[in-house]
Amino acid sequence: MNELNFEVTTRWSGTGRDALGTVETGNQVVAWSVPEGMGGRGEGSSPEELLASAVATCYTGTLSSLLNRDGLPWERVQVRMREQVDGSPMRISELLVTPEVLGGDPARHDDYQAAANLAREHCFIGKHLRSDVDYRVGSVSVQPAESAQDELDVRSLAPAQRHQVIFSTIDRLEAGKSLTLVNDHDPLPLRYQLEATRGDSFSWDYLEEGPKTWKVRIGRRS
Amino acid sequence: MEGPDRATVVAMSSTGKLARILDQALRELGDAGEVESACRMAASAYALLEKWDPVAAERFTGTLHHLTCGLPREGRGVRAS
Repeated sequence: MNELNFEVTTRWSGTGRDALGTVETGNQVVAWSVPEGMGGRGEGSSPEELLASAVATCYTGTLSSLLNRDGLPWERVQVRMREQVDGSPMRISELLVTPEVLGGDPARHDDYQAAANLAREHCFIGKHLRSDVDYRVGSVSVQPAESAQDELDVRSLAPAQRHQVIFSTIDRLEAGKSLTLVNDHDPLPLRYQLEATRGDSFSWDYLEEGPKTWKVRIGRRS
Repeated sequence: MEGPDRATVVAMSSTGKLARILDQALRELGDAGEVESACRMAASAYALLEKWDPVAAERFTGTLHHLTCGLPREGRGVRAS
């Protein structure tokens, strides 16, 4: 492969840890700051989250390629990445990826798990970290096609990602169609945001209300 | 690529500070019993900021989660679907 070069620009405005920065990558601008737990303002992303994102995105792309190569059916892949930072001086001690395959064949779970484990070996961003960090793959969840078609389960997503994923999904709903949102808490905040940003163009019906799982049928009005 | 200049970064920072003040005010409004009103204002603030300053907008997602936590079923005054 020819040599490829990638470039990002970071900016930092302010003094000390209580400051705000941006990172420009491609045509995206992402705000970042030092996490609150490290004495910063905790706004936007952070170097720690950006590193986890780099590994998670590379892993996700690698996994989707392996699923295709092995002829395993899938419609969407969601990967949750947990990064642990500890010690003194602080270091990244653990990266745990937990993949979820939507629209897959649960009877072939072992094949999906093997592909998920192999994706860790092939993920070239992760390769750079494996000698220093305990980089592991969790148990793969495989959801069948019929449930994936009209169900949006956001429980495996980081809380900060959920509303963005939900909004982009329901905005693609055709008039008269609906989906079932599955969450680990009452998604009532989302309902207020839907009404404030999209008026009454969506219906909202609770199917299950806790205590551990909430299911809401969200429909796009004709 | 030309990134945001210092004025833009400062403006975003100011918006973030204002968002923090409004967040605090809405939480106190909710604590005073005006949860429904506080939720509607938090959602409106989110709608105003979501395109221009997503980071500040996300603060109001947190506000809404705080306000609706423990809200009884009958207390949900959102329009009927």
